[in-house]
Amino acid sequence: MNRRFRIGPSLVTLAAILYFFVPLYAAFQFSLQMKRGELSLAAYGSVFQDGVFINALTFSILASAAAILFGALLVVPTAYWVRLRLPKLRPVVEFISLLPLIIPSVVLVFGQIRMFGSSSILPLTTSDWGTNLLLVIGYVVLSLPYMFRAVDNGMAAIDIATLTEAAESLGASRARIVFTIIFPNIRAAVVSGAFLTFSICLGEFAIASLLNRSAFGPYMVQLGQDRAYEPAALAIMSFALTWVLMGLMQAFANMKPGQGLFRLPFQKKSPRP
Amino acid sequence: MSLLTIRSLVKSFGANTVVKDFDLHMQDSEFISLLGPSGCGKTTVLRIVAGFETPSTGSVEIDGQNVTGLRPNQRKIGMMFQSYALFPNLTVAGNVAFGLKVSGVSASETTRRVDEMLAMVGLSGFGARYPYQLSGGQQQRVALARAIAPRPRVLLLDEPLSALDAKIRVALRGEIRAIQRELGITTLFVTHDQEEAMAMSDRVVVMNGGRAEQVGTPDEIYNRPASRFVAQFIGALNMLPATLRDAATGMVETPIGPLSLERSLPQSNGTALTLAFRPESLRLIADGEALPPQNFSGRLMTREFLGAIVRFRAEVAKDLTLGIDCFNRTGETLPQIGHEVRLGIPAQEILVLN
Ligand SMILES: Nc1ncnc2c1ncn2[C@@H]1O[C@H](COP(=O)(O)OP(=O)(O)O)[C@@H](O)[C@H]1O
Ligand SMILES: [Mg+2]
Repeated sequence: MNRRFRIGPSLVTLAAILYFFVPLYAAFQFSLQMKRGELSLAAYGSVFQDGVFINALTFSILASAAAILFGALLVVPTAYWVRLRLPKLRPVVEFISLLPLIIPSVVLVFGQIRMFGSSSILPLTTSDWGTNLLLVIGYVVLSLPYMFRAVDNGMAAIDIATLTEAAESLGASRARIVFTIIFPNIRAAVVSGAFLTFSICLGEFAIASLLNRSAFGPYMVQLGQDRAYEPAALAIMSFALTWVLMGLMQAFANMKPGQGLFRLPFQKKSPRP
Repeated sequence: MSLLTIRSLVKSFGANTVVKDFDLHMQDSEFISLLGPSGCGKTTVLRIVAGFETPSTGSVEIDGQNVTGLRPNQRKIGMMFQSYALFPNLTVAGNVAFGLKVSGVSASETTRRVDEMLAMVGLSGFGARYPYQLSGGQQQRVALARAIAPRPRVLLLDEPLSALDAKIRVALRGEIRAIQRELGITTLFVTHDQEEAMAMSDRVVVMNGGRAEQVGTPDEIYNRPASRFVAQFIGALNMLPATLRDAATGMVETPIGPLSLERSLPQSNGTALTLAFRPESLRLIADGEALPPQNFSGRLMTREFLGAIVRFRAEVAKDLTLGIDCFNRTGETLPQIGHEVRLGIPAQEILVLN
């Protein structure tokens, strides 16, 4: 292969790197300047000392965990069944799963408030848990395009029809097949769908704000209006978190069955015969 | 009473009828192959027995129980697939234990049975491996152990050897047959490979266009094919057009001269027939050897060395060549291409096709 230095592509790459990293670096630099005349982590400390920050973050983490659980329980059996028995319906299901990308989340949340408002048959918004449930459902809908895509791709990679038949011939029920064969084999896909869901939910503003939940998204917006240095620190931390999640996603995706996520150096690989 | 009974099976996909009036009665411990060209409906029959397809009409009985309406997981069958279909997330032991766990066998009994099955397929000590760490042949052995561990009433195999290398294929077919004999499992085996079917089976069902053309032992299928299709599909076959001259004595007129079949034929004189015979039925007659009653001459056109046998093609009349198989015995010199040879054939080895 020709590894000669090529001027054109190199310039484009450099421009892209600068475009991405200069603002990030500027934000990072700015976040360190809270104390006049010196560089410090004061802005980060200030963020962490804020009780509202911890509460909002905890709430959002719990809400997105619930969204991940509900989403996976909804999407995995659906994608499985569509692939196995209703392949003609796949384009329809795929289209439905993409709707949240087209319909703004404001529309979604207004729909929710109208459907489940105080004067409706099922007034979920009148109670705290009901509103939380609406939020989680909203999150599930928002993450549907990513979750469905990830899971459906995961299923394309294994021969689910034959594996299902093999398990059935051994006496297994449908539920058992989904939970002991299908789920574990698309675990990497579910995990990457989960991380995407998590990062969407963490930053989500419209639904949380209109349902009046003290979630992380509204907190960030509020902070951005009230403070100068802390939002920059938050932005840097969100980036770091996103990168960690991406790394974990990669690690899970490349994992072979029976391997831990982190292989210690002294652990021997089982030999290939 | 037969262990597996398939009665008047018909299966249509839309307007396409792929299994037509299929009947089969399998005895306990019997090994039967469904043999036929691709697309003749073998897999469909097997999948109906397994419960993955519902027949349009007809019934399937296992051990006297009508299972036609039962779901696959209620049928107590074992199945092996061409693609192995091992569960990638489970270890070898986990795969073999799967069916046992499903049917509620105790943990200690499961462990014992898994070890026993792995020993049987020659994979003791492989229990902790994952399927991706095994070769194709080893994976298929695990699939066999997994299928037989819950002691199924019927074992169904859909071309389980087709994805393997020739050497492993032959070794594994012997092992499958030996284990099947040892455990006495009634087995229905699908293949398009006639050698495989002949080598393994108690009986062979030759299928064509969704129908069973002939059911018989490998010997019967090969030596007494019931139809032109079976004769042509199994083994190599020479064909010779003929006209019946004397039905009582079996005298026929052929492009290579008159031949006597040495038996009376049911057809009337003057009927056009096709004579068929295997390449190994033709004999090269050495100089000075006594001539058999049915003999004719030909010129050797091609010579193919196949190891144990040497296959010639000889032109015996204008635009008519016949295949001849000779054993390759050391010390015996076989004639060269271009030579004129004398050929003989025993009358009883000539089949008459309509
Ligand atoms: N699910 C199906 N839908 C429509 N046609 C099918 C289906 N399964 C099999 N067929 C058709 O039935 C015929 C027989 O198929 P199959 O039983 O797989 O043949 P074989 O195993 O002998 O190669 C083929 O023509 C195939 O296209
Ligand atoms: Mg087939």
